[in-house]
Formats: sequence, structure tokens, C-alpha cells
Amino acid sequence: MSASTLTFVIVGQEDHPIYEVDLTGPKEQQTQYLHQFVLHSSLDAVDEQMWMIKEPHLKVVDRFNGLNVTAFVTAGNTRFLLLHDGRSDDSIRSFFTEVYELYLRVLLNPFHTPTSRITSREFDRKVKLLAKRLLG
Amino acid sequence: MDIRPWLQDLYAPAVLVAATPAAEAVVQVKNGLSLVDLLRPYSSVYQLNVPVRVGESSVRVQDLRVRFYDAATLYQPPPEVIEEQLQEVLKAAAQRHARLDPVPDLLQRFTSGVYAIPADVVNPASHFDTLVAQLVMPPLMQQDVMYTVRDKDFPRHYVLLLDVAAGMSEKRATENLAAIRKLYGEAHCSLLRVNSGNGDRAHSGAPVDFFARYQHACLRSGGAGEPLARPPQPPSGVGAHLTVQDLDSVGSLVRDVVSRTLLPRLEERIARLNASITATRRGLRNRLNRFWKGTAEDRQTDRPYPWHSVEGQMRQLGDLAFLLRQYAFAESTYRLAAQDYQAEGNSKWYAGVEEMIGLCTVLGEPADPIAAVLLQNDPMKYFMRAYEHYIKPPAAVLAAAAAVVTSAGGQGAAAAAAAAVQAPPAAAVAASKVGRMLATRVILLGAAVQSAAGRHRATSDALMRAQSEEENARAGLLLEQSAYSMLYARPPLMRKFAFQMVLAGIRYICCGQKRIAIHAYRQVLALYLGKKWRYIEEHLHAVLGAQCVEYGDKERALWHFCSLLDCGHRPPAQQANNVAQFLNLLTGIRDQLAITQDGASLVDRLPLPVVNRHDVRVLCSDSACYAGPAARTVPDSTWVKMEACCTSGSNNWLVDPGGLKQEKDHEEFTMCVRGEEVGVQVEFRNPLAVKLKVTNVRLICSFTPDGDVAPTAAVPVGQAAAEGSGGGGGGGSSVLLADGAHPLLPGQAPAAISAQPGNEFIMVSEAQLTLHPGEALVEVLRVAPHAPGWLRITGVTWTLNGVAHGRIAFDVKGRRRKRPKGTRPGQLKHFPPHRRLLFQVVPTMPRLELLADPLPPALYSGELCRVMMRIRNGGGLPLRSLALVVGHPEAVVPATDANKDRPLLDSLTDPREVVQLSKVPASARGGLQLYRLWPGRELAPGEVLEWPLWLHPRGVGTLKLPLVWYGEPAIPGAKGAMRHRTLRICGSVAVQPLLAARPTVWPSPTHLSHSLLRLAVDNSKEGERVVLQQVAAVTVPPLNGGGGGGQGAATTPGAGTPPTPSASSARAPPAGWRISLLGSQSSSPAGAAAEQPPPPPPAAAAAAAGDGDGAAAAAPPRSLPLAVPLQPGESASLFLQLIAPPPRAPPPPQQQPHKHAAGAASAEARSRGSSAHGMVAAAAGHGAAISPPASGLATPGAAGSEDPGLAVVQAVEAVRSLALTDGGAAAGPSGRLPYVDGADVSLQRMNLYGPGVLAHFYRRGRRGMVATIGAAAAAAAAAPTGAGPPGPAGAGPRGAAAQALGPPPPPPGAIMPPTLQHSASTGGLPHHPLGGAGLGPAYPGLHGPTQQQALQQQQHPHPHPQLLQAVGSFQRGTPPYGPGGVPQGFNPVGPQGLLAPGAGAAGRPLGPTGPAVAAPGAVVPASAPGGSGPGRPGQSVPLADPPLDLLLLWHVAVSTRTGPHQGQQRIGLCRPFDPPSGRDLSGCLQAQTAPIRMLLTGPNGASSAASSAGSAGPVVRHDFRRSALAVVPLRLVVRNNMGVEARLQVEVGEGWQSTDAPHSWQASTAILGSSPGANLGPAAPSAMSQGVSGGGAGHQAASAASGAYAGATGGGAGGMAAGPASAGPTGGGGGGGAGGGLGGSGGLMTSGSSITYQAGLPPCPEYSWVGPTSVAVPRVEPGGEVEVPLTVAVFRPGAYCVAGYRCTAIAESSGAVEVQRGEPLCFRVES
Repeated sequence: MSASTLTFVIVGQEDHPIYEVDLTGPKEQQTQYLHQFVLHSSLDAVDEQMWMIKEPHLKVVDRFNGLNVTAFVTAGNTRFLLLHDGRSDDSIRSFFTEVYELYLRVLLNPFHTPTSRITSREFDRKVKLLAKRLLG
Repeated sequence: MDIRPWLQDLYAPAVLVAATPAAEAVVQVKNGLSLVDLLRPYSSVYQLNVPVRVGESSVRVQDLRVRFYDAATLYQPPPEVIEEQLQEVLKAAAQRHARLDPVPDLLQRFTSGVYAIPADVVNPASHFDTLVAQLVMPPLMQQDVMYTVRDKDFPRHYVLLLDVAAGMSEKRATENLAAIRKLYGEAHCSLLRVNSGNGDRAHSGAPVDFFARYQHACLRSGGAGEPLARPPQPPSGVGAHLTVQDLDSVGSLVRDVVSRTLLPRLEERIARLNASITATRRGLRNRLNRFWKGTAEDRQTDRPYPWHSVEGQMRQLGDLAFLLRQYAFAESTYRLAAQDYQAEGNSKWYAGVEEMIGLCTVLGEPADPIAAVLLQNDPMKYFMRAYEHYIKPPAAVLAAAAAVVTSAGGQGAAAAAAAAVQAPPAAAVAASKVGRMLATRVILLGAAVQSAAGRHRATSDALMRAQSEEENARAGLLLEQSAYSMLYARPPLMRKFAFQMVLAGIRYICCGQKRIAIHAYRQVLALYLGKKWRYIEEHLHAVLGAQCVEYGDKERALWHFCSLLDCGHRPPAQQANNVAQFLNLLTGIRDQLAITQDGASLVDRLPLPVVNRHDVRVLCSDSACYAGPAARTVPDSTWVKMEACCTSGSNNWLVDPGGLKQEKDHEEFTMCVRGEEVGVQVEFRNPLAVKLKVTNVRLICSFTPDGDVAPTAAVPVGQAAAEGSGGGGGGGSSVLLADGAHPLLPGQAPAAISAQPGNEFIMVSEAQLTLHPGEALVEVLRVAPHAPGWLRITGVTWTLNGVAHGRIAFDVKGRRRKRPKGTRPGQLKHFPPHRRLLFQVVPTMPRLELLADPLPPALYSGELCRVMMRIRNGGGLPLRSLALVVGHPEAVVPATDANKDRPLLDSLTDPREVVQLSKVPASARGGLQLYRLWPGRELAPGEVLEWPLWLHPRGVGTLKLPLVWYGEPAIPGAKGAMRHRTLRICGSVAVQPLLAARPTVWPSPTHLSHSLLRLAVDNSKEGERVVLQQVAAVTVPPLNGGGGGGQGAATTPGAGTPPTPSASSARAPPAGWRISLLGSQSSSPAGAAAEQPPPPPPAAAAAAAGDGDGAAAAAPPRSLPLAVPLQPGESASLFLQLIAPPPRAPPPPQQQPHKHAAGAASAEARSRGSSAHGMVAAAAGHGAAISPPASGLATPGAAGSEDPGLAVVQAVEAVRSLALTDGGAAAGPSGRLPYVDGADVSLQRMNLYGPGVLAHFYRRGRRGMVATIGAAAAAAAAAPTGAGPPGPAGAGPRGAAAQALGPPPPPPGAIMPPTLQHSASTGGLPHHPLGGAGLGPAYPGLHGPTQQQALQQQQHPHPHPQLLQAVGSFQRGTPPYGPGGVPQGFNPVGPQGLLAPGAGAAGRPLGPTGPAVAAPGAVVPASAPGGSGPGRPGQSVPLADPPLDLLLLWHVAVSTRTGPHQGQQRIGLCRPFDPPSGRDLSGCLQAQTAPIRMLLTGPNGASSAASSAGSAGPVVRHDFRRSALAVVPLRLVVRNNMGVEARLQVEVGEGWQSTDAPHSWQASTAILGSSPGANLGPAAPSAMSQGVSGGGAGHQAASAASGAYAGATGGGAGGMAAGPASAGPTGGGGGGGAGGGLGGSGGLMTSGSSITYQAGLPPCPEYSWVGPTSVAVPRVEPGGEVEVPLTVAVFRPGAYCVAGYRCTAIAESSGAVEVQRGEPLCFRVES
């Protein structure tokens, strides 16, 4: 469990997580709880920050006990949240940008609604690949 | 909110109260109050107006609040005690769910003392002295940190208590007062009268709870300004003895204390301290001083400064100024002190000072815009600084402890210090705890300030910072406070609030405050639920569930555990745990339905197993019953179409084919029958990794029985409602509700779910299932209504693991109506039948059931299989009018079930095994077969009907066989009830390939009416050992000529004729194709036929008779027995000869030129011997059995086949005439068979021709073979190479067309030297060892076929439109024309057009119309293919020969396959199929058949076909000395393959006419017996003459032409030009010029019988035609042959190749013209 924290969540318009992935492997139950709580509460911070920053990438918006939350807000108010323990912002930015490309493709699916979960295996695979490449 | 009053209250001056026990008793005994309690209500003093000088300034103190504390309680309780107290507080708070009290204040600073003694003591001064002496000082005073009480400057006030009620002497008191006033000063002594009341509360002036709110909670160990315990309450109540006067005097006492003692003394003290500090600290000198000193000592200490030290004094000064609200002065003093403390590293003191600075900044500002000011000057930094230093602890604490140890002796040994000595770590821990508390206090202050300033985020930040290292309970409080501050923020940060609340809850749980924790969690539950944050919800439910269990709140716990059940993402162990804890909790609970939350019952929310409520499928039998699930997958339209075949009588166009529109109250319903079960398919899924046992699964239904009376008025409302909610009507005639609420409406599920398997009306059956991990089961739940009425299914209920009840209501989705009928769900949507949950139960009906699925799982392609359908009437009424609709042509039902128990072969040969179709309405046609079974009989309830079904799958793949059984109730029901019921069966058979036969057909080189067939049969590698048993040629009457007239009836001999001759003779049997093995003597009459005088007279009947008489015994049979075993993967080849049927009788008088009228032939055939007779008779029967749809004939056939008796009779006749056992053997000499291996004789009795099931499979969809004529020449000319001639698509009048149409020369590539041909064909065809002598080497000529095939393929693109349409109806979907046919046909247009100028450039002027017409003619086909004018490129004519089907009977003796066939004999039929071209045999034949076929036979039987195949030809000996001219007789046989009569025109010598070459040699012989001249057309006179073209050098036309035909040169263009030349003036001129040079004396025509010679040069160097050059045959009937004798004369010995003859056929009926070029004939002449 000493592995670093790297949890990526896409939160839909109604605060539903539509995609979750733990990029560093399984965690203890308590840790999972904590991560979700931190991510969820950081949405408040995202709401604050997104009106202050012009670009979609919001950098670190929230911290809790050494856990940082970096956010990215799409035009459709879908939020990408990455819970990490202090990664470099540049790599996260590029990660978010790439994931945004993927997400756009998901959006092109006419059957995808902004609140429906992303269950595509291919999306999952690519996100993991991106994380491995960009976030180490 | 202004925080300052609160802060000022918090930091009010404290007054120490000390009383002797006697004085204490004075107040306490009667009133239950301590002295402090008595004083506290009056601690605020207003309207003082006392001037006080602080520092340099002077202020007036207007009001002051002081705090009173008992001296004995003034010590700081240990941290543990504080924490315990906190827990107590929290508990109390949790009990009442109230806001929590603030943390008790921990540090006090005492500024004055009040000493009280009873007023009546003797020597008050001594009492006061002892009191002071015995006073237990607070710890800080003991440590000299605080300015001690004993100091004489300490402000003191002395009070004498006078107990009025106790009767204290007033006088004495006054004396004492005077005495102490003398001693202590006038202002500092008072007398207080108490207890003037009488103990009656009513008398007392104080409010009831007047004192209570000043009595703070007591700590367990005392301290913190409160006593250990409150004094016991006196019986009369607290303060009962105090009157208003008493209380007033208390108030004035406090006022005295403050104004006269406290403030003046404080002022003095401030002045003193200020002077002292100014002396030592302020100023430049002191600062430098301290600087040096500071650098000198570098130490860390926690040691408190004694009060008399400078540092202590500074703090005191600051505090005093602060208390007197001189904040600016206080702050400067604090800052001064802070420098010192920091320099000395005394973090505690420094932190304290910073804290005070922070407070000063807060309090010292003007009141106005506090927030704005605070923003400028944030006190938070001071608080944070203080916080940092407060929590610095351990090292400093340890160092301090060590310092204490070393200086223990000298310091006066305080108790705390001693404790620290004994246990330094403990002390350190305690100290650190105190430090933490202080830090927390600072943060609380800061947070309060921030909150007051409206900066809630900062508040939260501060609190969050403080909580992280705090002890649990306090941290919980801080977190909670922080969370609330998030809510205060604008906009409220709900999610952060929720998170911090959860964190607070966790802290509360850790410290055991579970109720508060639950409270905290519940607050945020609503915020998180439904947001799909899985882990968060799980955590909340898990925590809340566990806590609820702990507190015994089972219902809530159940809800939370219920939510936890959806835990598929957790490891299995945990899932099991979750399920178990839920079920355990639920075990004892009886009424689970009563557990509700938000109006929903727990039962409705049980998530296990997952039930798909949207996708339920109703399996209900209305008028249609289904047999098995496969039938339900077939689209409804299929069934409706099939049922329409049966119900066509009762339906009309008004009725929708889908049946009656069934709506009740605008909601669609389904009919079901009383007593029959209604099934609902529900899917249950187990999302967990735990095995689930689901029992007691039942449908929730409501039922309303049909009532006779009007429902609304009859039933009282209450009772009806009760019944309605009871789920099924408790015996009333109706349970309809009177108030309009309908029990059948959706959403009104019966409330009770207790076990009620049914009542008198419905029977709900239970199911149970076990769901393994991750498993999904589709369970069919059933309910059976027992009475007519209305049934509604609303949902399903179940019991999980025997404990938990679950229930769910179905939510069926339907398509939205365009125009909703109402507002209820059932009215808004349209539901397909399988989704309707409302049922009308109708009274008992008959019902058809399939007892077992009869179909085998797999069959071989072509296999014949009989299966038995067992149908039972499962209903309550008998059925009549049984019918069966078969939806696939590869299955058929016999007319009788008599053979169902007999073996397969027996029943196949049984004459009764016939097929008898009923007429199907035109709308439902398309492969549907309708059988009416058992007419007039009824199927009683329970009776089982067995009926055989024959399967003969011919494709490969899966055969889907839909069947519909139909029946009507014997007693028709009431109006609206079902009129009929059907049973829908859909069987499915996997069809595997076994045998594949590839036919190769080519025309026989010896017989014009024969074809050769090579049949390669491959056994599949996956197949079994198969024996080929029989080959049969089945002649199928073509569709367009299938029905003959009725004229054959009279001629049918009547030995076995059926008694209804009209039917059997309705159609004359078409003369069938015959078949024989190639090479067997008796069956290959090649030689014999050649010797026989072929009878070509027009009377075909006579020919047939002659043929039949002559070769009755040798007539080839139509079926050959074989025994060819084939192992899996093996192949075999059969070489067969196909013999076309003889030409038919002339057409009947009515204008139907191509009608089969073979009455004579059939009559003759019937009189024939055994085998042939049998064959033909069978064919006759066959024809008779053909159903009207197949034959296309109308009424008589339909009427005939409707009669069931007739078919049987026909069959009897057919079988009787079959005589197969001996006939087949006799006809086919089995001794000559290629293989003889266990031929199954019984198999050979198989009736392949009769009306039985076998023939049924092969009798439909046949149509006559078609050839295209006309444009063949053009197409063929352009196709292969570029040397083609200009198009002969002749222009001009039709009469001239025969002349104008130049026969196209075969393309140079097509005619090859014989040797070349031979070698080329070697690879193409295998060598056949059985080739007869007459056949040569049995290469039956690739030449002809290739050419003809080329022609044929060119022609195919231009068929009639009907032909194109007809192509699609070929049975196996194999169009006889290749897909590439169309482009192939159109491509030649280009080359042809291009070539035309090229030909012109060759020097010969072309006919003016030739190319001009050819080009448009070539284009026409696309636009106007139907036109019949000249210039049309092609015209299809039917061929004379009927289509042929070849069947190969095989059997597998003992099947080795597993399954129902194991060990069984399997038989089947295989049908040749030509995969490359995609044709069956008929198509192959058609491809090889030209409209006209010629065979030029020379002496000794050499034929042109044979010579072209490479034989050297016969040798003719002639003595040239005797006669200069050797005349060789030739015989040209022409067969009209067309299905129409034709007029033939045979021309030789390239149509050269003697008139054009008068000087040529001519030889004439006797012409035909009949004078052709009379019949010839306009060209006849010239054609009658035979011109022997002179062989002049200038006449390249003829020579080049003949050379071209010999394949020598390529100058075909010149030769071709001769044709058109005769038509037009230009051509005629050219030709005439050529011929004119010869100078012959032509033009003489003799018709004598002897040969005469005329002068002139021979027209051809090699040979010359003798006799008429143009012979006309007026009429050749379809299929007929005509022989034209020709003669050729040669002049010298040598080898000759005779070419240059052609035949033009003109079909009179359609005007089509076909020109056929003859093939060269080779022979040698030796002298």
C-alpha cells in the first residue's frame, strides 16, 4: 500500500462519477473511501476555481493531508479529477489533454448521455496507457 | 456579528471569594447556594463612571463585569479530567441533540479577592486573618507566578454576612463592621444581610431558576472555579430564604466591591507596574541592556516567571490594561513582553502574549466596520503564532522538567512540579496535552474571530488545522464546527461540509460518541446518496448500519444494510458478510412490509437478486399457442401470414390480419383461456459472488371475475376496496371499485404479499431457484386463472435465502402512442402482445399441444427423413377442422397417416403416401403449404394425433421450419371468444453437406437428340460411407407448356386406369428424358441409331411409334440402378447419356403452338412393355399429380387435386405400373455397372416419379429451357478475337432477312486444326475407357460445345424479360446465367462497331445497311428488348426438350453418427449441381443446346462432329479413271431444338448461285422426293440450282471463304462479304463481277435424277457441291429432326474438309431467325 496515489475520476454534470480508475492498483477499503471523499469534496473547490482560471486545466484545486486534487473542466462542465500526491503539473496537464481527446470520442457516441457511465473497455485501456506513459 | 462583547465577557476580571465555613454555611444551609453562586448573578456592574488612570491616559470605566470564584476551586484540573468532562458534555448533548456548550475556560487570572465571614463573629479581624492564612491559594499563586493574595496591595474586600433568619444580632454586626472598617479601611468592608425570607418560595423574590444558569458544571475532581459538588438542595428549594431585599443588597455589595475596592486598587497597581517596567524595560538604554543580556543567555525554558520579575510584571501590566479595556496600551505592553519571551525562548509565555496581542487587535479597533478593519489587520497571524508556540512542546517540556528537578529544592516544591519530578514523561505528556489545549483555545479564538468577520473559509482552515492533532472528541467538535463554517460560506460549500462532517463523525466514533456520530452522518447522507459515488455511499451505509445496530435501531440498520447488499465490487468474503449481516438482522422480523422509509417498504427495495423489471416477456396462449421458445423468436408476421391460410374463410379485408384489436378501457390486453397457465419470463440475476437461494418466487396478480351484474352499483365501496387490495376478489361477483379506482389499474399492487398461493379464481405457482455467483436466470413464472374474468399481473415477489422478502412491480416499456387515450400508463403507451400484462380470461377452449419436438437435430443435405408430429388436444373442448400449414418447401406432409408405423422405405413406396395440398389464398402464397387433415373428424380433449412429416432438406445450413397447426372449437364460443386456435411450432434442423454432384454436359457427337453427361459425385470429408443407389432422370414438364390439352383422355388404355379418367388424363404425360450409361451396349444406341433410318417426317407421332416398336426392349430406362460406394472424401464419376424425348404431336387446333400434346406418345408408351411402360406411366402420374400452383394451370387441376380420393387412385396406378423390381433390373443391365456392391434391391423400388412425397419435392418451379437466337452471330463474331465480320443484323424486309443474314464465320480461334483440338481437349476431359467404336476416342467434341456455349453465353444477356424474372424462381436459387452475363453481352458492342470500318478498309465494300444497322441493333437490347422487329439482337425461344432433373438416390446403410440416426439407415436424394456456373442440370443442358443443331454425316458414318473432334474421317475409294468426278453422298441431319415449329433453309456452297456464275460447272443430281421448289421462298429458283463455282484465280471470294473455314487463313472478311453481297445492289455487283469472270453457262436447271456435268471450271479447287445448293424444309416440329441429303463431288484423290454449309431456321410463329453454321466434315478420297 505504499504505492503512490493516482486516482482518476471523470465527474459528469450532475456530480455523478461517470468513470473511475485507480491507476496505481487496488487500495485498501478505507483508502478507497478516503479518496472518494476527497475527490467529491474537491468538486466545491473546482466550482470555485473554474471561474477564476481561463483555461480548462485548473491545476491543483484542493489538498487534503498530502493528497492533491488536480482538475480539468470541459466545456460541458464535465470534470476530470486526478488525485495524486504531488505530481508535476505539466505531465498532468498533458494527461488531461489526451484524456480529453478520448473523452470527446466517447461523447461522439450518440447513445452516450452526459450522465451515463463510460464503460468502454477501449477507453479504459487507453486511459491506463496514457497514465503509464505520461504519469509514469 | 460583533464578537467583542463575548470576548470581553470571557476576559472579565475574576474575583476570588473566600469564606469561612461558618459564613459559607450561612448561605448554603438554607438556600442550597454557595456564596459564589449568590454573588454571580450580580457580576455585571453598570453605570459606574469610575475614573481610572492607565499609563499616561485616564479613562472612565463605565461598566465592568467581574467573575466570582471560590478560592478553594481555583486550580486547573488535569487534562484527563477535562477530557472526561468533555465527554460528559458531549453525552449530554447527544442525549438531547442540542448544540454543544463551548469548552470550559481553562485559565483564569484573578485580580481581587472577597473575604466573607459571618457577621456575628466575635473578633472579625482575627477571623479574616485566619481565613487569609488558611486560604489554599491557587497553584499559580503558590508558584509565585501570580500576584499573591497575601500581598498587601492585593485588592481585598471584607464582608460580614448577617443571617437574618438565624437571628444574628444586628447590633453585633454593626459593631463588627465598624471594627473591621477601622482596620481595613472604610471602603473595603461591607455587611451583607441574607436569609431574610421565610423559606417559602412564593415569598421569595427571586425567580425560580435565577441562580441555575450561573452554576456551571462541576468537574469530577473539582477545579476550574467550580466546587467538587453542588451543595444539596434544601427542601424548600434553591434560594428560598432570599428575599428581594437580600438580593438587592448582594447587588450593592458587588457594586461596592468593584467601585470602591477593585478599581482603585487596580489603578494603583497599574501605576506601580508601569513605573517599574518603564524603569527597567522601556527606553534605549534598557533596550541595549537587554540586547546584551539576550545574546548572553541563549536558552529554552518553560519556566514561568515569578510575578515580581520584570517579565512577569510586564505580563501583569498588559493583562490589567486589557482587563480595563485599554487595548492599545495593553498591546504595546504585550509586544514589549513578547520580545523578551521570545528572546528567552519561553514559548508558552510568548504564545500567551501573542494570543493576547491578537485579542487586543480584535478588541482594540473601533466598532464600526469591523470586518473591513480586520481585513487590513488580520489578527490571525498572532493567533497562528501563538498556536505554533503552544504546540511546540515536548523538548521544551522535558527541558523544563529537568530544570524543575535541578531546582526542586530551591523552588518551594509545588505539587505539580513534584509530580513532574517523579514521572517526567507523564508530566511531559500532561504538559503537552495542556499545550495542545491551549493551542486549540487559540485556534478557537481565531476561528471565532474569523467567523465573526465572515471569513468562513479561513475559519474552516484554522479549525482543520487545529483538529489534525487534537484528541478525538475535541477534534470531532472542531471538524463539526469547521463543517458548519463551510455552510456559512457564500456560496455554501456543501460537498466540503459533507466531507468534514463525515470526518467529524469518524472522530466521534473513535471517541465513543456514537450517537453524535450517527447524527453527523445522517446530516450528510442525503447529500451523498444517489450521486453514485459508490465507495462513499458504502462507507456511510456501513457506518450507519453498524451504529444503528448498536443502538438497537433495527429498522434503520436494515435499510443501511439493504443498501450495502449491492456490493459486487467487493471481495467475495465481504459480500458474504454483507449478505449475512443483513439476513441475520432480518431473521427475527415478522412483518417486513411494515419497515418503511419515505413511504417505500423494505420489501420493495430488496436489491437481491436483481430483477429486470423492464424486460419481462409474457408467454401466453391466446388464439395462438406456441410450442417451445424457438417458435416465439419467429417474427409475428410470419405466423400471421401462415395462419391467414387457414383462417381466410373467416377473415375478410375488414379485419386486420393481426386479429381483433383488443382494448379494454383503451388498454390493450391479451386473451387467455381459463385453466391455461399464463407465463411471464422474468430475469433474475445474481450480481454477487455469493450463492443466493431464491424461493417462493411468485407473480403478484389481481383478478376480477366476470360479473353478471353491473359492477359499480352492486358492491359496497369499502368491501370492494378490501377485496381489491386483497389481491383477487374474495368471492364477490366483482371487485370493481365504485369510486372509479380500478383494481386492475397499474400501480395498485395488492398490499399483502403474505403467502397466498391462490384463491378460487387464480392459482399462482411458486418457483424457486438458486443463483450461482454472477449467474442470470430467466425464470418463467406462471399463474393459472380458474374462472373467466380479468387478470392483471403487476409484479413478482420472492424470498431471499428463506429470510428476506422482496417484491418488485413490473415496469413494462411500450412504444408511445401518437395520440394518447388517457393519462394512465396503459393508455399512454402501446404494448406489443408479449408485453401486455392485462389478460381477459375467456372460458374453456380447445388447445393444441405438441408433445415432443419431433425434428432431429441434424440431417444431411438431401436426406429423406420422416418425423412424427404428436399433437394433443390439451384443452377442454374438442377440435375440428384440423389443418396444418407448412412454411418451408423442404418439408411436406402426406395425405394419410396410415404409414406412420411402417418403415421408411415401405411408406415411401406406399401408393397412399401422396401429398395433397389445399389451395392457399393468393395473399399468403410464397412457399406455404396448406394441408387439411382429417376432414370431418374431431380431436377430442386429451386425444393425441400422430401425423408424419417428411423432411427433405436440400440446402446446407440451418433449416428453420415453421409449422402451424390449426383447429376450431367444435362448439363455437360466444361473441368475442376465439374462433380458432393455432399451435405455432418452429423447428430447426442443422443441415450438413454430404454428397455433391457436379455435372458436365455436352452434346453427343453422334446423335442430335442425345447429350453426354459426366457426373462427378463427391462425398463430403465429414460424411459417412454412402452408397449411390440409383440415378433417375426426372422430366419436369415445363411451366409454360406443362398442361396438355384434354385430348389424351380417350387414348389412355384403361387396364389400371383410375375410375376418374378425366383427372388422370387431364394432362398427358410429357415424354421424359431417358438415361443410360455411356458405353453399355443396350443403353447406348449410338451405332444403332446411326444405322437406323432416322425418321424426320413431320408426323412425330409416327416416328415415336416407329421408334418405340423398333427398340422397345433396348429403350433406355429413365432410372438406372447403381451400387457405387463412396467413403468419406471419395469421389466418383459417372458417364451417362441423356436422351431427349421424341418430338411431340402436332399442336392442337387451337392457337397454341408450343403445347405439349403427346397423347399419341403416351398412348404408345402405355402399350409398351414393362419398363418403358412403367416409366411413362409414372411420368403420366407425375404429371397428373402436379398441383395447380406448380403447373400454373387453372381450374381443372385445382378441382382434381382437391379430391383426396383421386390422388390415392393415381398413386395406386402409378405404383402398379411401376413394376420396379424386375423392370428396373431388366432395363438397366446391372451386370455392366461400374461397381456392384451390395445394391439394395428394396431401395430400387423407390418411386421417384409418382405423386408421392418424393416427387413433390421436385415438381415445382420448373420452366422450359430457353435459347436465344438472332443476335447470336453478332455476339459470337465479336466475342473472341478481332477478325469478326460486320454485323449481320440484317436490315430490310423480313423476307430478305434470310438471305441478308450472313452466317457468321466461326471466329478463327474457335476452329482449330483437329490435332490441336485434340490436344487441347485432352486436358479438359478425362479419358473415358468405355468409349464406343462409333464414338471415336470419346472426346465428344469440345469444339462444338465451346462454340455453342460461347454463342449461348452471348445470347443469355438478351433474353426476354419474362425469362429474367423466371430465373429467380429456380428452385435452389441458382440462376442458370452467370452473374457476368450481362456485361459479357454488352461488351461486344464496342468491338463490333469498331471493327466495321476496319472491314470496310479491307477492300470490300460493305452492304450499306450492314454496319449502319448493326450498331443500333447492338445497342437496342438494353432499351427495347421486347421488340420483335428486324434488327433486334436476340429473341429467346423455348427449347423443345423439357427440362431435366437428375436425381441420385443414395443411402447410408448404418449411420455412425451419434444422435437419433445412429444405427439407422438413411436415404436421400442428391441433385447434380454445377458449382462453377451455378446451374443445375437443366441449366447445363440449356447452356449446351443451340436452337438448331446440324450433323453432317459422310460415308461410313463419319460425322462432322466427330471429324471436328479430330478423327481422320473415312476413306472413300473412287476410280477416277472411270469417272472424273467422285460423288460422295452426304447426309445432313438438322434438329430443331426450339420449342416452336421452324422452317429450315439449308444452303451449301456459301449460297453461291448459279445465276451469278453462269459459266461454272454444275452437277445436279436427283433432288429430294418432295419438290422443294414449291415451298421455297422468293429465292427458291436460284437456290434450286446448285452452283459449282469455278475455281478461277480471281474468285478469291469463294476460295478464301472455304479456306477460312478450313482454318487456314484469316481472310474471313472477304468471305463474309459474299453474304450480304447478294442482298444489296452493291454487294450483288461485287459478287456478280466475281462470278462473271467464270463465264460459265449457268442458269440451267435440271431436275433430273442423273448427274449431269456442264462445262466450266470447277468452282472450288477441292470439291464442289452437287445437287441443290439451297434446300428448304417447310416445317420441322419442335424437337424434330430432318435429314437433308447432300452430295459433294471431288475431282482428285486427297483429304477433304467439307465446310461451307449452313442452315437458317425461321420460326414462323415469332419471326425469329437462327442461322447455324455447319462444322467441317473430313474424309479422304483415294483412287
